[in-house]
Amino acid sequence: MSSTPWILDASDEPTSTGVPHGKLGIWVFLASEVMLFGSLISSYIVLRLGSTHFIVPPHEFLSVPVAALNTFVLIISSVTMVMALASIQQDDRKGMIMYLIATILCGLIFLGVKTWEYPHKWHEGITIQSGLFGSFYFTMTGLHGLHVIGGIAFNLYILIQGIRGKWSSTHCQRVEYAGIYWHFVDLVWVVLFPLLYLL
Amino acid sequence: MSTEPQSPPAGAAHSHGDPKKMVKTYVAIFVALAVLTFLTVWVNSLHVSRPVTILVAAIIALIKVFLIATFFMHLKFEGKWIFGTVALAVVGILILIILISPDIAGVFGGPRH
Repeated sequence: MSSTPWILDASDEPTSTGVPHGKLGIWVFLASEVMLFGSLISSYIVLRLGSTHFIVPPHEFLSVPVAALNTFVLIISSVTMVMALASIQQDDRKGMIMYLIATILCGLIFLGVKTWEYPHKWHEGITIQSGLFGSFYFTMTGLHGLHVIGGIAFNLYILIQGIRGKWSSTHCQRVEYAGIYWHFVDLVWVVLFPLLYLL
Repeated sequence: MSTEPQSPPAGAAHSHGDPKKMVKTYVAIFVALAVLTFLTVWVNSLHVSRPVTILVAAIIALIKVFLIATFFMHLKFEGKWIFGTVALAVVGILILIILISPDIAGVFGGPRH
């Protein structure tokens, strides 16, 4: 027996805590991510409500319908991701591959809309240097966008391994971990959307 | 002495409930999230008072976060270790919010420090 697969799969084995190391690891990582986004969001709230220099651009400049559409795209991607896990848990490999491709496509659509949206903001005079709103907007959406790219990369890895037949109903932990990360990306956007576009 | 493992096989289907039954739950959660997103945008377009808009948007966002974490991230099925990790992050966020609350209070007419 090759030792490489054992090393690769060690993080997925049952442990004395009852939680595989990989799962505990991804949740600890996400806890740190909560603090990262939480500190940015709380800073935004305090400056937005407390600073007289915080000027919010009119809604027309913010492309609310486009952002709402993007929110909807991320929600769809969360469903397709969780359906990918449900599929492989039933040993439906084709279903998992189909749903993973849909998830990745949704992620790419989200990024595509963002690359359309940013130049429009710049055209309206909203830049990272234009004021407090612009600084927060581009920092938070940019950081979130980087997380979307990371999620797409993680999902691509899961997809490629899935096509190679690595996952099954008894060996799909990493599909779940990728899903937990992807749902977190969706969860952060659910908070950012009303904060940056609506309020 | 028992030789049974202390945890179910990782990734086993039953650790998150019956996947076939869960599919219906996932679809229901998707519909709820879509409706709540629409509701957030709609309430915002009504031009009601600002505190009401903020309150409604915050409540809807919290409900959406709860639904995603509970059902999509499977927190509903997790044990004390994962809950403990999440609780640490939530406590951290609460500390941040409590620490900035004196500044926010000033905006709504309360004392400002």
